Parts: sequence; structure tokens; C-alpha cells
Amino acid sequence: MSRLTGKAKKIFGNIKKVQREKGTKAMMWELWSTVTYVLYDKKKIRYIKKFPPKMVENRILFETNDDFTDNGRALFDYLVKQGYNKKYEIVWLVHEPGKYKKYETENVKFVRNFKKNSSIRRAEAYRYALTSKYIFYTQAFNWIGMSRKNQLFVDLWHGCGYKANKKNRKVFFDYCLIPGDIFIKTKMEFFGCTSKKLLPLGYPRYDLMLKGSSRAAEYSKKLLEETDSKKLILWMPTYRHASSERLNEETLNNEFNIPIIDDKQKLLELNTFCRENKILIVIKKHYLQIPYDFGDNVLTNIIYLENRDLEREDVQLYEFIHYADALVSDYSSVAIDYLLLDRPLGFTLDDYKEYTESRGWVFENPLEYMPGSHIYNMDEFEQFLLDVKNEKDSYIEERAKVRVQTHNVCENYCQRVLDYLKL
Amino acid sequence: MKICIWCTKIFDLGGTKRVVTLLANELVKEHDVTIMVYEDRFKEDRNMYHMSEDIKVDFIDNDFFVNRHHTPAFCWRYLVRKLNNKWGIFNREKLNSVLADAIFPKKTQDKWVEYLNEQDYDIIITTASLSLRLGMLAPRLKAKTIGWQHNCFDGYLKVPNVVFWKQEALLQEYLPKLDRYIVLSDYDKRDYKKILGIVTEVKINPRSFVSEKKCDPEAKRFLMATRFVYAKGLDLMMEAFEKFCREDDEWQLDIIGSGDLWNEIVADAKRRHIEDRVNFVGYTNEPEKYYLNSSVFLLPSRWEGWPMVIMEAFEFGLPVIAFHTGAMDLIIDDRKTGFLPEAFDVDKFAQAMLKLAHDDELRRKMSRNAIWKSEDFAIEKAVSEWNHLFEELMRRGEFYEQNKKAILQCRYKYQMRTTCAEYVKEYPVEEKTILYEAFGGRGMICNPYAIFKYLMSKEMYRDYKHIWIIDDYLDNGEEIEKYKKYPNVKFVKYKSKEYCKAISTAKYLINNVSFPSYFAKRKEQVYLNTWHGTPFKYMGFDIQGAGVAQGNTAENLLNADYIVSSGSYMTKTAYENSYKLKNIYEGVVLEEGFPRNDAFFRNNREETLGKLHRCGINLENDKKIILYAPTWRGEKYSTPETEMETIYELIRTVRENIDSAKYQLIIKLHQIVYYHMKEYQVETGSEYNIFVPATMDTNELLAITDVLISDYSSIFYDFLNTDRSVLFYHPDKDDFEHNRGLYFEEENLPGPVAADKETLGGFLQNISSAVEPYQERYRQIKSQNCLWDDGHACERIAAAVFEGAKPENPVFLNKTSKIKILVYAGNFENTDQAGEFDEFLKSVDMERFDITLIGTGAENEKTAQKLEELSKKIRVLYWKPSYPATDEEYVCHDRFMKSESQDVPEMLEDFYSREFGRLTGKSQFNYVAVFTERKEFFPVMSKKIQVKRIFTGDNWREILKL
Repeated sequence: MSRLTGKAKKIFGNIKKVQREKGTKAMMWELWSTVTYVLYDKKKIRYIKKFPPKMVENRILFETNDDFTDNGRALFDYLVKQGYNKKYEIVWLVHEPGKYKKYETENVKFVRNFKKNSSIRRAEAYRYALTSKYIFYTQAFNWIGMSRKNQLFVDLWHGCGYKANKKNRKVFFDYCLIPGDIFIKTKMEFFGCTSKKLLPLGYPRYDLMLKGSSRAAEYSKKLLEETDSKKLILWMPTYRHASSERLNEETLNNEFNIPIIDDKQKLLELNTFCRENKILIVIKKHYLQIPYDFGDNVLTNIIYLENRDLEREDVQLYEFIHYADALVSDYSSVAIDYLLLDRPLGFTLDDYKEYTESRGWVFENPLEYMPGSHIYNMDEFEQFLLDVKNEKDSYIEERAKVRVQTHNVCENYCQRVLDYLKL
Repeated sequence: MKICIWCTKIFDLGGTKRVVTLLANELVKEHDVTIMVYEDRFKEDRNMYHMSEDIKVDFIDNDFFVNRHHTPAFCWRYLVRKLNNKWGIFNREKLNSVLADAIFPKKTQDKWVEYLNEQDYDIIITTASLSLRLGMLAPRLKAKTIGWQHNCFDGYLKVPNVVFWKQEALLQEYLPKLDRYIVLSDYDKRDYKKILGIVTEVKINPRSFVSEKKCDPEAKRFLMATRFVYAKGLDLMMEAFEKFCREDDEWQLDIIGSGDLWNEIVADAKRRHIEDRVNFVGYTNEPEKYYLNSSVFLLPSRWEGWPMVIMEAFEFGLPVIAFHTGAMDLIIDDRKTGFLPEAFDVDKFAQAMLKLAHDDELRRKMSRNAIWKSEDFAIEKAVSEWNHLFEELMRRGEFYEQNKKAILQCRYKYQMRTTCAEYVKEYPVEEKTILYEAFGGRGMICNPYAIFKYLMSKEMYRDYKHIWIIDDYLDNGEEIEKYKKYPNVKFVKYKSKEYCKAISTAKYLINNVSFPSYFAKRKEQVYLNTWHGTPFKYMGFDIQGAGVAQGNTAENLLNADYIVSSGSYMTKTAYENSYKLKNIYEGVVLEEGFPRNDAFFRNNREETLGKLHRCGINLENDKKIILYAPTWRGEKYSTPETEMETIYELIRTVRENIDSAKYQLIIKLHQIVYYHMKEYQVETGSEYNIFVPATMDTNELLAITDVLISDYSSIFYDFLNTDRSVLFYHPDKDDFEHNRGLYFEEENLPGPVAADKETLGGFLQNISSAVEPYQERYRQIKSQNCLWDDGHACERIAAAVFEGAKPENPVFLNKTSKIKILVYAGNFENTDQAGEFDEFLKSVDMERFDITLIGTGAENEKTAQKLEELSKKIRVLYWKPSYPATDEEYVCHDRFMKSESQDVPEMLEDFYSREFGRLTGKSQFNYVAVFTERKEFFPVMSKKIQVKRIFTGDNWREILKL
């Protein structure tokens, strides 16, 4: 009895929390979802887990954290392009299937993953997960809680950067992709798995990055023309103040939550500098990052790129990266990825020390694996911009050295993954 | 052996899981180990108890074996189980079949039998309640079966609804069907025998780790490490601690762990007003911290099997207070390593706590006892006992039964030799695995290291596995640390059982000297011997009286598929003549230059300086480096002189004569000297910070050296690549030449030779003018011995060995018109045959014949002398009794030699042919001549040797007419 009341308390607490944070309408949705879940989905899920329906041998399931993006999307596009959908049924678990109507073709289906406006998963999602032979995802698929013997769970993963994770984490997969051998040991410890499960095959999105696309080309051209700039520099800081408490890392404490730039004055200075040198800086927000607060029309040559901008233009982030003349990053995996393009890299390291203490690194000497300008302050940042403008690049050899260690370069990353899985 | 451990769960918290993982981690070093569990494959978490990567885990899908649909049969079985649990109505012999079917249905059994037999295991071990099921399957399984109990008798049979509750009759029928049933203590053994009449065997669980650090007996803290469940008696603990707190207000209690009863226990502590004295830690993955900070361990459990926590407590030196239950008194000696108050008497428990808390001297004493007791639970001991059990189970053959004692004795006496032979016989070769050994595991150095580094840097070799043989892990810390993070690089201790496995199963073997005598190369293996220098002083059979000592190296070379040479001078001096490989070596000599010399063509000055710095040798970047690298001196390689006086004399001479603003001196002793000094703890003296350790790669050092001072070492050959100056310092020339001998006249060296320190001082004062007259010779010797050094030796050698590419400069030594004869004359004891043998040697024309003698009995002084006196033109291959053979082969060979029989037992045929291969490699002979009783010449009798004809003492004269 006490267990029941405890559960009820928990559910109501959760619903109240939704009301507090998102308003009454959202609460009503949540309430509706909970009620239908208890009445239908819960029993259904229990039943199909105990007596799973027959497996569909040619079903491929995709789920990515941000619907229909990243590695999953790259691999999906490749599958469709190569006509795999004739042989296989491809199913996507997404929040809002209506949005993806235009991508539906033969044997391709978009299925609602969660109940509408809620975070409760539908029994339908479980049914698809338990009947798919191949399952691709980019974060974790632990919610399924069980696996069937012939299923193949492939975690495409979302990138290996410089940051180490002290706490290990359980993630379900039969295989997980990593860029190169050097990451095997740390990821092995992180996941507590054997090295055989980690495939140093690189990520499907590398194909997008290496080839680009006409839409992304147009978009970047538009951005450059609008601001009358010659060079496009992409800046992708890792998240610092995240909305999720579990992932929050407060090592940087300045006005804008971005490295190097301490205050408004500095930012405006940088903007002027960029304008003078005809450089456009595009700052990509990490999806976990809380938006920065800026006034309108102040910044001409520094612009923000958000996921919805990309969505509007129908451009994948990694397609866009192809058109960046240089990349500024800190410890994020995109710096590793960008090595494949062999263009100038800048690393902002002003909170390097704090990071070393709080999280630690994958590599013993992480600085040796950062083949580009090491930027600690504004002057060094401006110098880096000038170098890009003048096409002065003194890190070619170093990049090659690190690339050999961190990547297994190949022509077609998607195909290599499919070949390995014998799809 | 293929071992399967069958348990319900392994990736979960708990003592059983930990012990199983612990044992499996050790067993997997020698055997194939599979753990079979009923868990989902995504429960896998090898971090939990650090499960080795080599252990296979088989995740069983129980639905495959059991039909869970609610059929009438399913319901009936459910009912039977429930009724039996409640009233035990089926717990009688007559109804055994009903209960057995309810627990483990017939159809399920059939599926299991089929599945297990398919896997082809040698041994299946089960834990807990699965033992009963294995017992039901046992008669139909091909594998040997072992049941393994992890709790005490009472814990298994007296606890309602778990494990063997109300199943005594079943146990009596099915447990004896297992080959062995293992229990934890003598008490359990007694109970099983007395109450159920089942014979069992005791195996003590090992401790889970070894700790250098011990607890602090001064700390005023109690410790408990437990799950929060009823059995662990946490409620009793709270009660006792409340009593304790009434008399004491200093001590604290830490409790680590968590569980179902957490809330209740925390509330209980509050109710008793001791919440400020009890520290509930919860689950932690750093329990060591708490062990080290406490001084007494508490275990108020209601029942325990063989508590791992006590062994951990002992390992950290904590005395333990526990209730006197189960086998507790077998682990804890009352009043010696702790206290055992009467079961569940809380007052006595509190008293014991008070006594220990308030008597510092007693605590210290008990702590010492605990540490001492901990040795009883060493993992090595447990593993060897388990291995012993496997041996016993696996071999019930007639020969084994008859000669059990001798075989086991042999096994114990010749561990390495027998292990090696077993791996050769039982394990397949592992493809794409490369083993590296340099100077018997001295470190990651010399040619093997150069090849290793090359392979690691190339994409095409990324799926190869690399095994490094290391003698001293501590000494090689830096390099090991560097490569530890690569999952395809493994380190194995020299001359361990794992080493035996590695040398017997790795596909590729790379060595720069030789493997031990118990190494037997298999046909499928590829052996590359890189050697470690161009000869300057005498080597191999050229050394006076080197016979037997060099025999093993010669056999190693004969077995090698590839030998590396620096050029034709070396091929001729070292291989053709010194080791007498001319005419019979069937492999390929790769005249490609030394792989290690590739280092000269890369500039790694800063990296090398950094490495030296980390060894404690601080060099200044802007000063030139003088390196003194003397070779070893003394009678025997294994016991070199370690006299430091002469070295310090040289240091003084150098210091006096150089401009210290421009030059700095470092010294690298010969690696055997360095090793010997370490072994016998000889100090390097006040200037210790200029002595480079032997684990440092010499050629990395030479690459940054500006002036080399050498003596009789061949190191200077490599150095010629740098075009920098080399000086020779030979203060003991006459002595040395007498002892060892040199291939090279002093006058022909590529630099000035100083016979005393004054001359050396003179040279040092003006180095450039001292070396000036030797430029021409320098160039000449360089062109002779460094011809192939161009920075790509590794590439060429790797292509030939791993890719099967045609070598660029191969040299073949087997081209000859001579008639090759293999001769065997026993140990010359058979006098008339020995006379014939002498006659044979006198009359045979060495220009026309190539004679190889298999020499035995060198341990006998007379025979040794005779072997020594033989003409140098005869090639002697020494057959010593340190051969690799399985224990049964050892005993069988011994019996056969002593017997009258002439027929080779079947068991020995394989052994003899292996031995013949080990001795002669791939060499081909035209004829064989035997001057002794034929039986003693095993290869002939094993019929494995292919020659045109075999001659004996009676008809050998026909050879002369060939």
C-alpha cells in the first residue's frame, strides 16, 4: 500500500513540476499522457517484453537525440541514396512525425517516440525497438532494458573529444563507433566493455563534412555576402552552462559564457577587428547551452548559428562545416573531426587548468593532440584570425601527425560501417 | 583447457560474482575461460570487478531453453515447486523425479545437454543452485563437472525458499553425479558427509587483492562493509553500538554499502541517538580509503559462507569482531586476529568492541597477526589448487594412474618446460600476434623495439596484436605506461607461465638473442632473429670453451626463419663461421641493416633528452654529449664484474681534460652489468645521475651523442652512421684479448686507441686532431657495415616477414656441394663404438663432407671434455635434458630409456619429432651415421627424419666411398 501511495506522490510531484516550469497547458498534456500510460502502455510494454512479437528481419530503426540529425541522419541519407530502402524497412523514432513527411519514401516510416508534448515513451516505440533487427542511435538506448538474441545494437555515438569522463556509464550497444584506435582504451573504461565492441571506423557524418552540399554552400555564401566578408570562421565552444544539471560544468565564469571574451567591450572590439579584416565568425551554440543574451544589430561580423537556423535552411551541421575556412574549438570532438579537412584549427584554452582539475583528459598530454594555435587571450585570438586571413598555416605537419593517431582515414565512411555490419 | 563457469549473474554486486571473476581472471592466463550467465548482454560491465578482456562471456537467452507460456504443464510445475517450498511434500526419494522435472524440466535438460556438448568444454563449473541442475545433466555431458558452493551449509539448506530449501532428497541423488562438489570449509564438508552422506572437497576462496598500504591502528574508527539486508545483522550492530557508545564517546563507525534496509537502519540509528557517531557512506568504489582509515572491522552477520570482507580486512591489517557462526572460527582465530563473541549476544559483542577500542597494544598486535594471516589466502595458492583439480579430473588415463606420483613430481619440478610443451600440443597458433623479446625481457629496446615502433605507426598493421616480454615492470615503467593504453599491446612477465603460452602460441616471434631452451618453434610460427650487433669481439663457438653455453643460441638461429644481418662481413663472421650455420641453415639471412639504426635518420633529440630527464639524468641542450659505453668483463656472461673503480677513474680523466662548458659526460653500462648490479644492489656511487639505465634504447642515445668512447663493444658500428668521432679506450687489452678475443686488429679501428688514461686525456684535449688520421678507415668501415642503413630497414624487414614480400638483399647459406651427414655417438660411453667414431672422424674428408654431431651428456665431465676436444670444423648441436616435454612425456621417455624395449611408445613419437625439430630447425641432411645403440638415437627411431640412408658403427666405411 505504502508503495502505491509513494508512486502516486511521485507522479503528482512530476506533474506539478511541469506546471511550474511549463505552464498549465503542458501540465494537462502531461496528465493525459500519464493516465493513458497507466491504463494502456504500461501493461502493453510489460507484455511485449515478456512475449516479444516476431522479429522483422529487414527492419532498421533509427533514433537520435535531436531528431533526425547527426550520424543517424548521415547514415540514413546514404542508405536511401543507395537504394537500401528497397531491401530494408527503415523506421525513425522522432518527436513529431508530421515534420518529416517530405522524407518519407518507399519503406521509410517516421514513428512517434513519445506521447505528445510529454517525455513518456509510447508502447509503440517499444514494439518497434523489439522487432527491429538493426538499431542505430547516437546516445544511449538503455530505455529498452533488454535485448533479443539476433538484434544488432549499433551506437553511432556523437563524437570523441579531449575530455575524459571520470564516472563510467552504462550504455547498451553491440558496437560503438569511435574515430580511431587511440580512443579505445578510455572508451573501454568508460563503458566497461571489451575492445572488440569499439569500432575505430569513424563516423558516417564525416562523409557530409568531406563532401558538403549545394544547400550548405549557398547558405554559407549568403552569410558571407550579407556581411561582406571573405573568410568564414566557425567557432564551436563546448557547453559550459547547461540546462541539464547532470552535465553542467562551471569552469568559465564570464558574462557571455564563451571562452576568451570576458565582457561586452571585448566582444565589440573583436567585431570591429573582424569587420576591418573581412572575417565572419559564426558561433555555433551547443544544443545544451543556455542562449546568450545580446541586443540586436550590435554585432555585424559575429553571428550565432542555432539548430533552428540549420533546420530552416535544411542544412546539416556537418555539411556546413565543410564551408568553414577555419575552426575554433576548445576540447570538443569537432576539433578531432575537423582534422580530416586539414584546415587551420584554433583552440581556446583559457580554462585549461580548471578543466584538467575538474574532468581530466583522454590523452596524457592533450596539448600535443591540439595541432593548431593555442589561444589563451584576445591578442592570440586576433593573431589567429590574421593568420587565417593571410592563409598562413604552420601546423600542416602537426595535423598530419595527430590525424594518423586519431583517425583511420577512408573514402566512404558510411559504406565502411555498412560493410562491417554486413548490411 | 576449455573451462566454462556457469552462473546466474556475473555483472552484479556480490561476493560470489567477485570470487568467480577473480578466479577467472587468473585462470584465463593459462586456459580458455567462458562465463555463462542468464543476464542480458547489455548488463556487461567489466569495470565492476575488473574482468579481463580475454574472458568470453556467453549470455544465455533462457527463453530458448524454457517455455514460459502458461500451459497446463507449466502450471503443474509451478504448483509442485510452491507446494514443496511450503510443506516439503515432494522432498522424498520416491518423488525425486517429479520435483526434478518441476525444477528442471526434461525438455529443457535435453536442450542444455545438446548446447553444452556442442560447445565442447573440458570442464564445467557451476555456482550455487545451478550445481543441482548440472548434476542432473552430468551423466550425459562430455565435459567434467564441478559444483561450487559459495555459502555455508546452513545458508544453502536452512534458509526458506532460497537455493536448496527442502531439496535434500534431490541433492542426495544428483550431487554425487558431479565429478566434484566444492565447499568452502571443513565444517561444510563435515555437514554434507554427516547429514546428507555426500562427499565434497574444500577449496578456500582467495583474497581479492594485495595492498601495500596497511591500516592505521591509531585511528579511532570502526568499519563495516556490507549489503543492507537482514542476514548481515545491521540491527544487531545498531544495538551493540548503542551499548558501546554508553561507555565511550570517541570512536566512530563507518558503514559502507547500501541495500533494501537502508531507510530502516538509518531510522534505527536516529532512534537510538547514535546518528552522529555512525557515518553511513553508501555505495563507494573506493573502499580502500575507508579500510585504511579505520582500525577495527565489524561483521555481525547472522550467517556467512566465506566472507570476502574479512580477507580484505586482514589484508589491510584490521582485526575483526564477528559473531561465532558458521565457519567464522576457521578464518578468525579468537583473541589472535579478532574476537568471536557468542552468536547474537549483543552485550558480548559490545564488550569485545570496548576491549579492542581501549587497548592500543592489543590492537597493534592483532593487526600484525591479521596481516600475517592474510598470506594464507593468496590467489596464487588458490589458482594452483584449482589447476591441480583440473589436472586430476582431465587425466584419468591408464598411464597417468600408473605413474601419478612421478608425473606430478615432474610437473612440479619442471613447471616451465611442461607448460610450454602443453601449449604447443594443445593450443592453436594465434594469427596476427607478434611477440617481442629483447635481451631476455630487459625492456623495450634494440631491434625488436624499432620494428615494434614501425609496425605501430603503420595503418596496415593495425589489426596485429603485440606482446612484449618484460622482466621487470618497474624498471620499464615509462615505456609500459606509454603503450598501456593501446588495447592491442600486452605485457607479459619473462619466464612466467603466461610467457610459456605466449612463446608457444604467437604467430610471429621477434628476438634479438635467444629464447630459453624450453622454447620449441612450431612449423606454423614465423621466427625473426634480429641479433643485437655487428661482431667485434669473439662470439658464438669462437669463444674459448663456449660449447654448451652457446648451443642454445645456435639452435635458436637454426630455427629462425629470418636472421637480420648488417652486411656481408657480419653474415660471414657471425652466422657462417661463428655459429657454423653455413651449409645447413635453411632460412633467409636478411642483409638489410639493423632496424634500430633507422633511429639515426630521424631527429628526436628533444624527446630523448626528455626521456633521460625523467630517468633522473639532466643534460643541457646546448652542450655536446660524450658517451662512455663499456662492454661487460668477467668470466661468465651471467656473472659480470661490477667493479666501479675503473669507471670512476675514467670519469675523472674525462672531467680533467675536457672543457666542461662545452661537453658533458654520460655513461651507459652494458645491460647485463646494469642488471647484475641491480640484482645485487651494487650502487653506482656519487655520480649516479650520469648512469643511463639499461632500459633506455641505446640507439636513441647514440643518435644524440657527439663523441663516443668505446672499448670492445660493437656499439661503434652503429655509431658510424652519425659521422661523429669515436675514441677507443683499451686499458686492459691483453687481458681481454686473452679472455674473449677480437675479430679486428686494433690498428684497423675507425678511431684512435688509448691504452691508458693519460693517452685518452690527450685525445680528449683535442678531439678533432686526434681522429683526423682515421678518417679514411672510418669511411671504409662505414661503407662495409652501414651499407644498408638508410632509415628504411624496418620497412624492408616488415615487408619480407609479414607481407611475404621478396626480400631485397637475401642471402642463403644452404647452397653447398658438400655431403651433409648427421652423426650421433651417444655420450661416448660405449667403448667399441666410440673407437669406430674416432676412426670415422680421422678418415672423413672435411672438404667433401659437412659433419653435424648431436652431442649429449655434456653434464658429464668426461663427455664434456671429449666434446671440447673435437675438431672445430665439426658442428656440434647440444642436446640437454632441459627440453620441453609434457609431464607424461618426461616420465614415459625416462621409462623407455631404462627399459629393454626397442619400440617407441606412441606417446613419444610426437615428442621425438618435436625435439628433432627444436635441435636442427629446418636443416636437411643427406645421411645419418649412428655410433651407439640405435635406441638412444631417438630421431631415427621416431622415423621422422628423411635421409637417404642410415649408417651404423658396422658399415660407416661405406660413407667414404660416397
